[in-house]
Amino acid sequence: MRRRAFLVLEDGTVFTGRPFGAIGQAYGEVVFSTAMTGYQEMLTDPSYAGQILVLTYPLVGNYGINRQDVESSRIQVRALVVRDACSIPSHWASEMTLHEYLASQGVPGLEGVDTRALTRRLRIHGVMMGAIAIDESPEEALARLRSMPRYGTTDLVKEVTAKEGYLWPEPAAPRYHVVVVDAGVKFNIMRLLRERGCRVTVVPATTSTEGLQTLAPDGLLLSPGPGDPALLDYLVEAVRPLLGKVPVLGICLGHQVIGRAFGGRTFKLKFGHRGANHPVKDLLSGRVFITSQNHGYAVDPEGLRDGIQVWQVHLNDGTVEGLYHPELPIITIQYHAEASPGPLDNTYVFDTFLEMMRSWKGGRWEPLR
Amino acid sequence: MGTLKVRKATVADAPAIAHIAEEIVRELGPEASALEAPVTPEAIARRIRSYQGKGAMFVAMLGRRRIGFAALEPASGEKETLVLGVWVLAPYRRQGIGTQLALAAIEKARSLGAHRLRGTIPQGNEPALSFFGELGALAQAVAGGMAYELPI
Repeated sequence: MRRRAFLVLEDGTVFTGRPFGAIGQAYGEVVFSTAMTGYQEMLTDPSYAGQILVLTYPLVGNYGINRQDVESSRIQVRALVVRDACSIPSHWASEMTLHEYLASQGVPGLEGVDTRALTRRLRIHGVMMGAIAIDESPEEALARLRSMPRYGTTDLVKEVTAKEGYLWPEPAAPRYHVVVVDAGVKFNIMRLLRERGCRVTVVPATTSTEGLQTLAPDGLLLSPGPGDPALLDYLVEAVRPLLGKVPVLGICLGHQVIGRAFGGRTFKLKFGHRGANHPVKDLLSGRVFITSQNHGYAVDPEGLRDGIQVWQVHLNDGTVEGLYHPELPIITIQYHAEASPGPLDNTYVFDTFLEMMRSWKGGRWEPLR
Repeated sequence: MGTLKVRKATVADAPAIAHIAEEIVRELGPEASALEAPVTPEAIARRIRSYQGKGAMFVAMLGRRRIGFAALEPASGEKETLVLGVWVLAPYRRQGIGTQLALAAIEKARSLGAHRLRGTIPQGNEPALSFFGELGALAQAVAGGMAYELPI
């Protein structure tokens, strides 16, 4: 008989399941994603660092694991919770099962969990800390969990950022030089920039203003990443002097950092936005886009100053999903234009960024309208 | 072996139910079994009589042998809520017998107008935790053990 394992939430709720992947304990903030595909991209997305990921789609692992669909160099989630983990994947590119992938990187999984009940609990009561328990009672796991640091109290960006700068493989004839500040960047951001003819230098999130200036970028991209943006004063301060001096695109955590640089406050969402079909409205064009999202914090529009404007809003809860400056080359999005996983409908944001760099470089910069 | 049958228990079943309860207390102890020892035929009979239409006991029979039981009882002070406990003799576990007993009790609870079942899961009784979890109950760690709640 297979061993039993549990997911214990900090409110004492216990969900039973069967272990897969690495056999071991884990703890983290328990969050859910409603994306129906893209588990490999989600597992390797650094924005999930410090979290136990619950997938609401019931069958996971059915197309296996391949070499291409990684978004960073390793699995970033602390544990994965699913209803049913497929052990016989079918896809031409598949090289291993989800179980083998998790096991190879020491990440525990839990299957057979009533993920609908679990998600409902998180939606009603909000995201909370949780522990994967195996070979210990739920009561012992709960006691262990209560002694662990809470999500949002540690700077997870410093755990996932590049240890030193590096150059992404260059396109044949680079047109622009983009510096990506890696707060937990996903590879697809660099892939999409390269496809558009950009030479990309990736730098650690702790890089100073001077360090960024020395690289003489045509554009600066502040990447997505994990954790509470309120802990990132060093990043806000490094970026602030460059706003208005070089075209800037902020994505997800990068958007929040720019929001903070313009005096905004960030706040924690009850259960976050994680999935691949979140509707967002562009307030300038009136168009609605379906977006890929993964964030637990949002920018409060109250307090934004120095001319930054709300560009896009989430149609489910009205939260800010993008900012722009009518006089400076700055745009931000809270969602993931790079998708991975999710719809590629929003790669136009990268084109807009390129257009900003082109016109800024040519001295004929025109604001977003 | 014979076929499995789950039916409402009567006072005539009390000695057999008491015997099952004694076996389980002997196996797990009074705390882990959630049965207060000694469980006598008289105590079981009194319990069955006390329900007066507000609860019920069910017995699982394999051929002529009684091998498990479930008790569905009113929860004190809580409207539309009943307390459910299920016990099956060790050799007959993991064969769906507990589930059959629970489903019979759930059907009865619905007919009594209940919207919720509650119960306790003694500390360390992980099979019971899995059993109620698979029925759809939400379990919570409480002082000294676990409690479950099952919307019906």
